[in-house]
Amino acid sequence: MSKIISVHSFRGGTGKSNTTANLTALFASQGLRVGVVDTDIQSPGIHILFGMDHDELEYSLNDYLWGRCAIEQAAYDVTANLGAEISGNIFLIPSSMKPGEITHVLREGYDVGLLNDGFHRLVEELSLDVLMIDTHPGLNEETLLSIAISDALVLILRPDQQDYQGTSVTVEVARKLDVPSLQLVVNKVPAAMDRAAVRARVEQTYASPVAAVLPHSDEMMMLASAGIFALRYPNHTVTQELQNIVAALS
Amino acid sequence: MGEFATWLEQQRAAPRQEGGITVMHLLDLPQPVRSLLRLLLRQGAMSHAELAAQAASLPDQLSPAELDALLELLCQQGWLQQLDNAPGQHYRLHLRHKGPTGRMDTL
Repeated sequence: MSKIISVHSFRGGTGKSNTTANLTALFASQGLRVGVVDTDIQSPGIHILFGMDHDELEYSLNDYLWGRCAIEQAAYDVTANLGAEISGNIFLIPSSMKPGEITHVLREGYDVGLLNDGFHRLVEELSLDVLMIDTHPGLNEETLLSIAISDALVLILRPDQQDYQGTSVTVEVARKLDVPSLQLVVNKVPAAMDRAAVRARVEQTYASPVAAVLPHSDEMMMLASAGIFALRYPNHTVTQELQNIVAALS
Repeated sequence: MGEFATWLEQQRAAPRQEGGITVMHLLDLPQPVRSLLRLLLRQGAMSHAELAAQAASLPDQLSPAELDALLELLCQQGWLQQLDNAPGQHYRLHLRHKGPTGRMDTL
């Protein structure tokens, strides 16, 4: 049975899209068919990690939400873009980067039921094993929808007081919405911090499992979203921690 | 009177809310109602028989009469739609259109 996984953070800049892209690639490396939807309509960007030139897109999620195409027409097989041997497939459903289309969403809104139908249709039409949903930071309608329909929610936070507080809000919402599996991921942990202590503190604070504690990585910064970290650095500590998230979600 | 029965009475007296339900509404519902609607959201559509089976398996289980009262109320409120094109009684959530960002539909 297919699995829907939302990746979310209460605040921006946590590495949410980067983590989503890496988890997607690792699932696909296991031979799975993985879809990834960029529901961060207001500030999209995950397509860059998958090497997509936005000017070449015929359709995006925005087109589907406005009735211009079927959802599967906005899905692109980006597996070959990654320059690595991947036995599965990755289908990306990007959001539009065109300023006029982003402001259209902000101005007019969209049919939330259509978005929900689109998730279900993608799973069916593309025979997906996993559907990853990259969400907008904070809590809004599409984020809550994504959380509510997910089998698992990955919540990303940094070791930062603002992140800690915001995450508690999302954890509370996820519990109210009966999300079957909630996995916390602490990202960008400075080398000077004791990662085991960070894990223990976060687990105790939220009474939820911590799937991974990812150290800050200069290599990740240098890559600068120009590719999938786990494929470039398969033996790196960050990649090992990302594999721990995949194991927790499997 | 239990939480569900109290809520049902209050909702019957409340004016119909136009435009459908939002996921934010789910957060304020009694546990059995929230669980059923969350499942409907996840499944897309469900038959009456499937809903009845789920309602009976909830920790705060609903009796068949309570389930029917709930479905009738939710249809009247415009939160639930009955599907005509499926055999038997099938239901799906009627999700409210997302309005311009910055209005009441954004937390």
